[in-house]
Amino acid sequence: MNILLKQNLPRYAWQQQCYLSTSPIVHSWFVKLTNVTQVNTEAAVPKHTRKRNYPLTYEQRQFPKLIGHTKTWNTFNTSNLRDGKRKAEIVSDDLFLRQFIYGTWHSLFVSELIIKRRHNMVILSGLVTRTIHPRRMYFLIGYTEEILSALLKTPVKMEIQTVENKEDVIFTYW
Amino acid sequence: MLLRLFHRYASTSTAARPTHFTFPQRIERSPTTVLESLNSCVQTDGGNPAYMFMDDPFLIPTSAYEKRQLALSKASGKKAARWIIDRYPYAFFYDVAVPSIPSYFPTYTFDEKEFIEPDESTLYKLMNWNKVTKAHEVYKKCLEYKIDVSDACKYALFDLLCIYNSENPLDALLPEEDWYRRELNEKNQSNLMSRTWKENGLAEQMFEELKLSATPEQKVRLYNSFVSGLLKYNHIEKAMTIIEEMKQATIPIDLTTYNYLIRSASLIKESYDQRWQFVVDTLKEMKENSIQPNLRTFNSVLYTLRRCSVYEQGPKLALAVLNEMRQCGIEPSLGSWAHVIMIFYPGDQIGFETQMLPQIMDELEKVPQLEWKDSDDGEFFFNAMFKATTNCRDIDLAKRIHRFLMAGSNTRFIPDGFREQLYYTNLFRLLFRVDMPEKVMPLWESVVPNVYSPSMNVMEDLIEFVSTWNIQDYYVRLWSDLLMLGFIDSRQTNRRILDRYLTLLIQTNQGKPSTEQIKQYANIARQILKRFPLEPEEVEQRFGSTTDAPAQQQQEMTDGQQEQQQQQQSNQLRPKLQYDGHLLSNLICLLAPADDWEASWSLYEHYLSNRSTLINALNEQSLMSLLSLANRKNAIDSALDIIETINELQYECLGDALDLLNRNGNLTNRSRQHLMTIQKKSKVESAHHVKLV
Repeated sequence: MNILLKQNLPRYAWQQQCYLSTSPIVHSWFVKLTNVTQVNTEAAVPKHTRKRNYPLTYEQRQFPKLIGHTKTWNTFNTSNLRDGKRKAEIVSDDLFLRQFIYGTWHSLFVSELIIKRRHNMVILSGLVTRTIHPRRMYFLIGYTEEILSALLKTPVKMEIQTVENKEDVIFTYW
Repeated sequence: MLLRLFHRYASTSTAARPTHFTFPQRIERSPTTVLESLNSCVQTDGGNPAYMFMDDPFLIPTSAYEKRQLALSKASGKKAARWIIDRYPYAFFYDVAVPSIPSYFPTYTFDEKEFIEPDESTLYKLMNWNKVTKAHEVYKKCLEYKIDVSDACKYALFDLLCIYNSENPLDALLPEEDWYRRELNEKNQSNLMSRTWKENGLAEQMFEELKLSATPEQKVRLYNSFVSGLLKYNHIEKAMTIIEEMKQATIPIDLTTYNYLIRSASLIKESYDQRWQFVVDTLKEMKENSIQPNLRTFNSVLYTLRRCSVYEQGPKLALAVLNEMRQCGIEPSLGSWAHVIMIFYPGDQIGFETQMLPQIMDELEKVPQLEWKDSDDGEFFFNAMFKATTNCRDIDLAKRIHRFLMAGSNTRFIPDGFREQLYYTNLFRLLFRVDMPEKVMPLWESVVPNVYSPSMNVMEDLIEFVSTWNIQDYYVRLWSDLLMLGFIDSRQTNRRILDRYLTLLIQTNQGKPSTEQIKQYANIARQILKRFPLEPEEVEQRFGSTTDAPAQQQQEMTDGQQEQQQQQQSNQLRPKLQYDGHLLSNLICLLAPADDWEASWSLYEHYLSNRSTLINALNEQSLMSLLSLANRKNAIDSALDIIETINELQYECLGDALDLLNRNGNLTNRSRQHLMTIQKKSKVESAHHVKLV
């Protein structure tokens, strides 16, 4: 992936569009079309706090331009490939799934929800803290799987991993 | 693959090229062929938790109790979701799946409007949604309003009533619950032979009604379904009268009814010979009516034979039945073999000489892939293992059966958790009794804990086994196994296991263990102490005088108090481990050789302060090892204290104890005097033989 990017960039630079970079703003800054101050207006790049004590997870620290380099996507599906189906539906489904999980698994998820679509199946994964008893966690798993299957009309499966507490996922302070 | 390519290449180069090419015939496959062939590659693996559990250390259950708890809570989560779906059905009608999947939709609720004008389509709908009793109500209404209902619909409804005994069929259990159905649902237990048919139920009413209007062809279906239903729910007398009626009216009996008839022969006739005669008669009757028997027929014959326990003709007849099956071109299923095993080994002692079980295994291992063919198939593995271990007592055979179970997807032939538990209990009890550790332990490790969580009896057998073979390497492993399988907790039933295990460790401590082992054992003792603290902390009312503190602080204080109260409550809820003298002395015996003075002394002090309530006294061995430790540490006062205790308990080892302390160079004059007085006052004889300096 990296090699591809290096080879491709100079070739397409004159076209003023970047095929592989996910953020058009970075590119425009690169060819000096906009004000430099706009660099920090990019999505998901927080400002430093004054004391540099705001905790970030690995995923939050790897800013969007690093997607595909040091971190992967939060949702995996084939809708954006050529002839992909249900582009809009999958995006709105993902939004809904995230909302649902953050409400149902209240303050339990410490990472982003990763949504993978394989065949007709939706697999939800992520990191969960061990603040509740496994018994209750299995109740939530059963509940989530069943109700989401009924909503999306496709088998939904959860594959979660647990961490001891929220501090375990801190990657850096920002 | 490469080799094959090479061959092909070689053959094309040497042989003359073919002049024409024919496409291979297209092989028709079902839509699930790929899934099936993938499934056949899967093997049972003890290294992973079952598919229903998350693969995460926090979420993997190990003990049988935990497994059950977690599986059932997942099921209850699903049920909660189902309830929500049924409560708010309008939110779940978004249909994107093509073809649409009915089980992802809310259960259909019937409108009252639909019953105002009852017609055939409503009836069919109700039957499709398993509302059999409601369907009968609507059918009655149809009759009332003189609405035409086709005969096909009527008879379908009647069949359903017979099959489900005039009740609505039970909802299918979720797969997680299904595994534990034996505990959840008493009704589903097999071999329940009581009569459950509903007298004058809806089925009977409808039978009487339809009988009047039926044409001869319809009568065949009517009578046969009715008799099958009666026999299924064990109403034998009524069934026999109906059959008589059928014979008089020359209505032919069909295969299903014959199968049920043969299956319930043991209820119809009393003595074994009569039962067999009845079966033979029925079969002859089938032959006269030229009805071809199927697998179910033969399984029913074997089932009847099996219910004649210790029938001397049984084995011979069973073999004859098997021969007959072969002649009819029907391959026996696992269910047939399960019955044959029970026929050949009726009691616990009989049948060993026949060598039937090894022969059956020979037969079965030839079959490439087993299939569920009959509802009796689930009994096979349990029966086979039971008989291989109790009657044959043959380890090779037991292992062979187990290997066969683990091959392919044969594990699905164990239908529920209860059977599985018994299967493994039988297997391991035999192996622990007869086999060698090098062979048992790998097998044990391959199934525990992910496939099988042992019960307490099996665990006790394991400890016994480890101690008789004296596998010292396994002692510490055994401790972690006990912890993992949930046997080390404060429940009174598990107390025996803890005691048994500690005695095992001490036995080896008496022989000369290495320092490494002594350290490990002491660690185990410390773990026990950590898990079950000697004296639970007494909660003091430290927050009594918070009245003049600022409001905010008070808030914090009350929070703290609440927390403490909660802790107190949880402490009360958690049953404490009752220490007794026996357990205390065991722990001292483990800790003292490892030079852990503080821990062992605290145990001793605990004993002294709770003497009046503790059940047993400390034993000689523990006191002596504690004394020698005190001697090594030069804790003279403590040593004297221990000697006094020995004196009070009047142990014979007092002499040795006095001698031991006497040799200590650091003894002051006062201590010597003390020692002398103890010797003088002592009633123990051995004390007076020691010469104190």
